Amino acid sequence: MAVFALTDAQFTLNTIDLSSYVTNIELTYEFDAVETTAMGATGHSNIKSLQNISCTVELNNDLAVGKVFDTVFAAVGSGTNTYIVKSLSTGTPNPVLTVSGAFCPSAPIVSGTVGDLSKMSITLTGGTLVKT
Amino acid sequence: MANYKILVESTLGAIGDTVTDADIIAAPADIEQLIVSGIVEPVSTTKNTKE
Repeated sequence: MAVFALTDAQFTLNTIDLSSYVTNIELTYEFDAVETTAMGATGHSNIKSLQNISCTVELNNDLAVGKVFDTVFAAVGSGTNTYIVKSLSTGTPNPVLTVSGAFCPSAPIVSGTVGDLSKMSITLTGGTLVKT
Repeated sequence: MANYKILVESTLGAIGDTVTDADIIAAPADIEQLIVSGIVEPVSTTKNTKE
């Protein structure tokens, strides 16, 4: 597969497919580093510790039942959110990145300037990421 | 095994479909989260024994 433009990323939050509302998404796969540097070392050395996952998603808002507003509203304050991110809707290879146990601390559920498109940006933190 | 009725269109299935807790776990999703958020509701299995 060649390089590609990100035009069809998929985002599902708590089984609700919000892909068609996503305008920007960034999923960061990270581990906490634990320093193992000891006497005699000439530089820092580390081993990985816990996953430190973070996903920021910008969405066009939709107040319809079970769409953006409802899904995000229910996710805020919960530490048991599950979300799935894919770079493509179809195609191979297309890693499926599933994060379980994510916390959503807040969401700007009403935000914007007069005349603007209603949007919201949420950040999901923590949880455990599995690639399949 | 508990059953849940889908209240909102989702990757679990169409509105009105019934899924099991195993289906939800396989989704994957958290059952309590889906109930709290109104995506599914438990289907009562209590039988009315009154004659």
